[in-house]
Amino acid sequence: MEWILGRKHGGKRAFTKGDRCVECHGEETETIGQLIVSGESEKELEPNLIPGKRGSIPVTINATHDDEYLYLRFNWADGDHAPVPFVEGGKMDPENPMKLAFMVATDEVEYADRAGCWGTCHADADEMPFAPENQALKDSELAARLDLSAGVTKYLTESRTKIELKGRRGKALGGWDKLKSEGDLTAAMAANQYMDLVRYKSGADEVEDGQIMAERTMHGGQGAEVEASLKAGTWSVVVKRKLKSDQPGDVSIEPGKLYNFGFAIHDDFTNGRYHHVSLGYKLALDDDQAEINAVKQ
Amino acid sequence: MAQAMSAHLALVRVDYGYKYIKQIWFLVPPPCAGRNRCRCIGIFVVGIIFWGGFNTAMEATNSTEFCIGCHEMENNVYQEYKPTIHYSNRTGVRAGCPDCHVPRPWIHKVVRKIKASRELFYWATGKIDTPEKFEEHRLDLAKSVWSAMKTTDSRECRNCHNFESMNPEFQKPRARKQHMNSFETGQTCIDCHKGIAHHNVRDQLTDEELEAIEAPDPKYVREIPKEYLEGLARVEAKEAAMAAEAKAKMKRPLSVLLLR
Ligand code: HEC
Repeated sequence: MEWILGRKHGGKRAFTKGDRCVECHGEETETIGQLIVSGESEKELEPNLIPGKRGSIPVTINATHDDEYLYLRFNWADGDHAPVPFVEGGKMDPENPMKLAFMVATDEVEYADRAGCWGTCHADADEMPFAPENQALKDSELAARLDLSAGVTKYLTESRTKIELKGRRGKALGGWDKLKSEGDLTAAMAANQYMDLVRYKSGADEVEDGQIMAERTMHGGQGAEVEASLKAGTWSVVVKRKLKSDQPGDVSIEPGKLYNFGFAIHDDFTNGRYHHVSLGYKLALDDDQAEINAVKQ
Repeated sequence: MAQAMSAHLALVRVDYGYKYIKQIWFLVPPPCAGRNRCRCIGIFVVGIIFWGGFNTAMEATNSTEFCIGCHEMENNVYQEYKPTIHYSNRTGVRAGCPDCHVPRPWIHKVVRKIKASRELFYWATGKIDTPEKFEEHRLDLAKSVWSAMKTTDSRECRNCHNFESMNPEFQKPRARKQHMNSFETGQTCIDCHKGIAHHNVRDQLTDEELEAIEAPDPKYVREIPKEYLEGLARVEAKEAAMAAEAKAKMKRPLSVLLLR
């Protein structure tokens, strides 16, 4: 987000005004992805190149519902293995050839309406350019309130008192250490300011449900069922999730409303920030205004 | 009778000629007669020669060849410009130095040329005569061009480009969107298109400078040209049809999979 809202991003002004990523980049993710993974982007976006890594993955999403459950099917072609040169054995997460996660949020979350998952990603997250040193995390009094064991995770703008965007006089970008008071965070949760998150790990065949607010937590939701397969070089991931939930951190999906949706794939045994992230889309039930329109059957 | 008529006509013609001269030169000599008339015509001819000479001289300084006559220009900005689209492109139209850096309207052109005479002084004193010195001053040089462009609504870009003849049908969605935004908020070409023909030093601007030079100016808010809207409608219809086609091709009933 610090980059999107920073001086190097040509779309900053329009994004701030309310334009969505897809309006500008929806048709060029392939080009942008290639620029990033090849290190050819003038914006110097990726320092740790993985030779042979594909820049983008075309994914087909089919969606349907039956008034009780939402079904999402993701299809995409598996790619060639591209060993990671800076990891022994070339696989960051040897257990899991593929992980898929998606987020759902209402417009209550700042930037969710236009940015999808990108709104939760910050310059000081783990492995990002301004990630704090381990020692700083250990010494921080926030260690009592946040799980910092794997570094700083995703968080929402609403959870911080300030997020550094300009980085003047060498200030680190981001705002991991500017956590709001517990009272403010509870109030934000109550105001639907969180992003519901479901993640599936292909190796462990495990589904986790959590949410993002002050940090990413991988528990607390109603969960989902996932069936995944890799057949003839094509991944198929079918998610079955109850439309309505009474669990905190879950978004209930009702007819007649547009929800913000984004997903990400950890392709080819990758981990951490080395994933393919979709732009933000709209999800709805029986509404063709939404890019992902779950039609009843 | 016939002779008298023709003499009269000749007189009238000379009279008109004199009036014409008067209009141009604001000379108000007494009505010409005899030798005076010859003098008038003489001044007229000399005037044309000077005028023509002045413009010819001005035009002589208005070519890329003239500009790169100085090695400061030839070795730095010219070399950077050569690989860019303004030098060489699919359609073979080239924008040379003066197309972007010298105003077309005569009065602005003269003003620019007078200002440019200062550059002779810097040339003589060798202000930017090595690549190092050039780099040292590059940001200031760029800033002065950018702010000139900003105050004139990028007049020299618009020597060739203009919104009325811009067709979003041939633009990527990102560009379409950004140009729409620019109509609505009052942005001008240079706001986004910096460093397109020379090394880009936009990054060296401070946050404040950047904000000042890229902030939309309500003066430049313009109506969306009819042609632009028509192009947009065409391309959006085309894309919608393509998307529908792609969707129809990929649709497989999800229920079959789930009921396995
Ligand atoms: C109003 C249009 C607009 C919007 C909205 C927008 N961008 Fe951009 N984006 C641009 C422009 C213009 C560029 C600059 C291209 C350049 O300078 O080469 C850019 C560049 C980028 C790049 C770098 C591409 C490269 O050259 O390496 C990325 C990545 C990117 N945007 C991501 C996003 C994301 C993610 C969002 C939403 C959170 C977003 N953009 C929203 C217009 C937009």
